[in-house]
Amino acid sequence: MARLVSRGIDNCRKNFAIWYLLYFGKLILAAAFSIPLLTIINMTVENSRYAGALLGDWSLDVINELGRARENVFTSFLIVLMFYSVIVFLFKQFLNGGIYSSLLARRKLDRRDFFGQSAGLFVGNLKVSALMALVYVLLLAVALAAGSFVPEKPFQGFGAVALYSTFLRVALLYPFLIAGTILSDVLRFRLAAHPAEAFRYTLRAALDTYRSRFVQLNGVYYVYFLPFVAVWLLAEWLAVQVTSGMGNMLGVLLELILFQVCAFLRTGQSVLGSATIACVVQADQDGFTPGQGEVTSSD
Amino acid sequence: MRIAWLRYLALIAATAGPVSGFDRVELDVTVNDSARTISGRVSVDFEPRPVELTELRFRLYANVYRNKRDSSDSGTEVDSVLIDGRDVTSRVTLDGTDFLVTLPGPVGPGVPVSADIRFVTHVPEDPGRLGYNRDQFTLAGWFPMPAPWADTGWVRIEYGENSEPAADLCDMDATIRLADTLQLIAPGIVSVEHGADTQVVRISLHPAQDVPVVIATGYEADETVCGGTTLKILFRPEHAYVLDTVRETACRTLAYMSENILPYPFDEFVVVVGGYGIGGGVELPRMILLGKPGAGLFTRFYPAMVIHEVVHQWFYGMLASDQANEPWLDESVAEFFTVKINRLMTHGRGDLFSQFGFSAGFESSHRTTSYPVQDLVPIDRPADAYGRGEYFAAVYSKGALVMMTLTRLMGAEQERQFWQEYAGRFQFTRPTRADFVSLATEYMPTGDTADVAALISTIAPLDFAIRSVSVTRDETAADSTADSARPEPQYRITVEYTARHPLGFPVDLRLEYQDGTVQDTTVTPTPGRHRLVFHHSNGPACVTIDPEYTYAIDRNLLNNSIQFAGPRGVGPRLFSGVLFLVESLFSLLWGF
Repeated sequence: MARLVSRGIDNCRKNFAIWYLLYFGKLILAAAFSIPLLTIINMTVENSRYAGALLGDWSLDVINELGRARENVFTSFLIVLMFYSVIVFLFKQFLNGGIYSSLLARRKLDRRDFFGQSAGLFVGNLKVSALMALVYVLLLAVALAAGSFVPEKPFQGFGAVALYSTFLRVALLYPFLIAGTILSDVLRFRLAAHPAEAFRYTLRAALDTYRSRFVQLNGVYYVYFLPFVAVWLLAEWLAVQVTSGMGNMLGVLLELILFQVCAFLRTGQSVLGSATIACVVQADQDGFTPGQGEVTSSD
Repeated sequence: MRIAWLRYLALIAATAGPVSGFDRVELDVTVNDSARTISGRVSVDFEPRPVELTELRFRLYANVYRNKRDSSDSGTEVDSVLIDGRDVTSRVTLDGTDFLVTLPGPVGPGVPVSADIRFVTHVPEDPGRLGYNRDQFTLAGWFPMPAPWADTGWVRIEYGENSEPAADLCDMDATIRLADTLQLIAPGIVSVEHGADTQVVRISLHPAQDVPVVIATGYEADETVCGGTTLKILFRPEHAYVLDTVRETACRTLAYMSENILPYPFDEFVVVVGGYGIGGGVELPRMILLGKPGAGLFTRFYPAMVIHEVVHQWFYGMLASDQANEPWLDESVAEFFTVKINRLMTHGRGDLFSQFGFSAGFESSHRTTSYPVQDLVPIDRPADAYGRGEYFAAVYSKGALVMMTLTRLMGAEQERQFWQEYAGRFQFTRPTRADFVSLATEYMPTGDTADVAALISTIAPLDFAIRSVSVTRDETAADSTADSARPEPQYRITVEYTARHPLGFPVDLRLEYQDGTVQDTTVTPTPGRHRLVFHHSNGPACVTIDPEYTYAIDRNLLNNSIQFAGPRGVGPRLFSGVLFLVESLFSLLWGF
């Protein structure tokens, strides 16, 4: 496992640009949505004493008041966000071709290859997403059914205990969804390796690999996932503490930075995880070696 | 010999008849749990009325369930009616939940009358206040009960989805026979006699507006003494984890209300945890039923529900207002005290939820809930004049906000006196809207009944706002001090504020200066835009209208102030949070 992790880190380092591309893409798109919202609501809250409570903690009272005072703005922005999410989703499906090809290739792709793969695999990645949507629904149902077997007694309590138990219940569902995420990665790697094959063969081959390497694939995911979760939680806790403690613009700035650290790490964890999964599936020589007319053709 | 004499006196006292002034209701019934029926007789000795009676009116609350799907065979059937021993069954008119008996002859003012009714109630399958649900009978409003009496006649109530079984207080005595295997939970149990297969439970509630009973199996009991009251909590083992919270909340609420409003007059109070099949709770005489504790216990909604139902022991139990026609008199008031007591228990902000840097207040949650109906419906309609969702938003949430506004306008000391006088004056009677308004007016800054009535009925979108603050150097003032050694700079501060739909009550306008001094000005604004000019040696730090948020019904609290000094960054913090949320959403969609 240690060797695999080391190879994963190497693969990630080789494709570090993907980490930046995804993080900054995410940041720019999110900022493009959030900045207009801020400009509109800033006038309402900036001089208001009632709104000042928001500097102490994330006061839902203030947010509710704002929601009522600028009801139309919030509704409009939610609608925009929904449309925006569709565009963002499609954009990511476009990039997936390049990303998975890069992570699978044993050398660095140039920009032309990257976007060539992106365009070429766009439809295939959409198919994978459609399939995965069904898989996630199924996994969620299985997770909820499994969750119902968990005894209730340890989770009973009021206040923080009840909240922790809610988190824990969600956490119990998470491994099912992670299993789905890994299947999605394997499918996309197979697609990147064999773009010309019929989708049912892609699916069959990916499932074969997924089944035979299930423990390894899941295990390697958790090696990155768990420490990153700890770091996110720490950063988010620190962010809230800093702002509450300082209650001024400096605190807000520090919180913004810490939130962005979380967002950056979230992207990093996924890239690192996928880079390592690429190393796992690369071992399956028949299934995940890029074939003729694919990435290697530009060598 | 002396003891025998005392016993004789006690016997005379016990059989001498009523001295309380309440009608007397005596029940003798048998519960058939397999057939889900309760049958037997109810005898009512009516106190003399001040007017001639030609009819007696009763309420058959169980018939409200006939309108519900799958419960059409439920309800109360009347087999026979005797008036002062004479059979008048043929003179009975049944109409839904209304049951009218035309008397064979008029009964003069001041003459008592008695009725004896044989009935059978088919218990509906329903998780609410009257029904059978998962091996449990919850029985409230289950027998023919005299309709409320207004000054000169009976009150006819058309019961519907929102209305609860309204009744005047009566002295209640019940004998209930049921299978020995069942557990009967009720307040006022005097004795339980066990026979071969049956048990006979005798209940005495003097006074009460119902004989509430839960029949089930598997409840365990916890008893505590709170003040002079025995608090009995019945719970199922799987709900034992809420026991401490329920006990503490109920005890503290009993103590608060006893200390600040009126001492709790009974020696017993029963709480049934998980006894209510619908979410929420229900108030009954000397007993409350709480829904099953479930998800969401990280907020204080469950303890708040306990507080709400306990408060009803005053505003329902003792002040037995007509819930069907004037639900705000008990529900709005109970919810108002819920917010108040919950705030005391949690020491202020974030009194609904406060975890991980997030907080939410109970009052604010009521602002949010009531918002959709705030300028659509008043709080003082009859219960069934509201749609289901509207009812809770208007009567509970908006009602609590109206009560907050009313009492904050009174001021703390006046408010305390008001509630004490209101509770004291109307204890064990049925206060009406007119009673409430008339008394509240005495404690308001403006002594006009119409103003209080307008506040209770308001659907106006009240909003106070500071529109602009302009500051200029007051040259005249500077010149006037030119001769002094070091003239103080003088500022002319012009504050423009608007009042939308003010209710005719005063409101404070607070000017905080940069040197820390505070200047309050009380205005009673008319609708529209107004201007106030201040002169001061310092510039303003903040101008606020209604700085203590007295008007809880104010549509928008964000525009109540304009501040020039103080910590900044609310907008950027919101941006930071929204940005991170949107990024997280994208991460979810992207997988990265």
